[in-house]
Amino acid sequence: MLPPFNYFRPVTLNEALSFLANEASRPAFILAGGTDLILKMRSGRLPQDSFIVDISFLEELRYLRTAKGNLEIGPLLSHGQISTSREILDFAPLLARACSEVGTPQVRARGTIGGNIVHASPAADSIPPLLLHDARVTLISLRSERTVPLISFLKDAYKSDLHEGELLWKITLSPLQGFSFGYQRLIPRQAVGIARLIVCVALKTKGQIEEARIAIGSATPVAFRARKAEAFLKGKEASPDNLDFAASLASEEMIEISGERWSTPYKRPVLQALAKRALLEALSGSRGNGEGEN
Amino acid sequence: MEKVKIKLTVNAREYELEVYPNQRLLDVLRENLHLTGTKEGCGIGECGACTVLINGDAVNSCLVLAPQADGKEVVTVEGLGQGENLHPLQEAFIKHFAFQCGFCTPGMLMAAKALLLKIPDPTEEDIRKWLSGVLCRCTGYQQIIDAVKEAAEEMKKC
Repeated sequence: MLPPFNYFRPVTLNEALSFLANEASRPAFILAGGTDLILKMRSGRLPQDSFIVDISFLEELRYLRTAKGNLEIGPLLSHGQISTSREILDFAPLLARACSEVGTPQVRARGTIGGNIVHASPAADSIPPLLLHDARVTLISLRSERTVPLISFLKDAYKSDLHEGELLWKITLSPLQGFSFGYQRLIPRQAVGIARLIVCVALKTKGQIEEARIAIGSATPVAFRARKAEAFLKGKEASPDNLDFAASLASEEMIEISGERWSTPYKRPVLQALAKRALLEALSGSRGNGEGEN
Repeated sequence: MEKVKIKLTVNAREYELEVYPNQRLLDVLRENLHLTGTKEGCGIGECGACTVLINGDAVNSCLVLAPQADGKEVVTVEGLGQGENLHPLQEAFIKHFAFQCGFCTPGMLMAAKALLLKIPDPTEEDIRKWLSGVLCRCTGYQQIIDAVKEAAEEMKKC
């Protein structure tokens, strides 16, 4: 048994939004896959009079569609569904790959991409690949709807900019046509672990590098795009020296954000090495091994 | 706290229950339905001892609120075999002595069942990945993997 709480299960999206519109009068927590929230409930960290709003039955939030060349993902899709979806493997292979790395098969069957975003863990696996696709999130409330870049929705570690009364309604990804991919994820053992560092790379090459996108997760309170390294690589030859320099720029960008910390002597060279590996993997024309296993 | 009415199928039997929202699926299985084969280990979704199937997927029943199981099809270790007849996975676990203390066994069996539903002919790598969500503190993993491999082969013959 968990500590007591009030339970509300909306049948429609509108019913959920109507309930949340009165959120200011009582603390409400949104339950989707539950793999994070139930831990919080169990530890007794929620206020006693909390309402748990169980959106897990809202089929309106479980969808996948393309619109104007973009991919739109419903927040209730589970990591397991995303990592095995043919459409996602084709459109966003690193997102499929990243979701196949989340937790265990059991956690992937329940945990949702929407929860991963709103929970805003620095180590959230789905976020770096979404940043490569310049993902936007659409938040909906009873009276309004707004769309913001994912990068600006993530405010700090475990802090997303979900306003009172809002639900995450849509995640929109731009295509990365003609790109190849690289993916590196460092965990303390071979499998089933929270990422210590994540590097996602998308490269478009035509003789030289036309465009590079590099997203880094788990290194800073919020995942980021290594813009200096990206800018450096644009129009450059993919020579070992250029890749080394770009990787060192990415590592320096991490330190600019986090400052010199006790872990910096370790993380600086390791991130640099991972970034180089991810760049080399992308240069080899890889799809990032996006075949999820579950 | 108000009780919530739920309807669910457990091991092919339909139930209509009134549950407290702060009961987890794990609590309902063990305390309301007395299906104590499903074990509580860590209670935080890490050890996998409480693994059951919901609509064919292996999940941690400690991370599912009982009301979230409404309308779902649940299979526990008690539903694996048929009456006195053990499931090929259970037979293989016995043959390979794939347990020491046995506490993880129901979770291992259900994770393996989920695997064989999706991949009837798994590689060793598949087996390791699909069992990665269940921890055996006696560390007898090799026998468990061997047992799943053999069960898959046995089931192909049927």
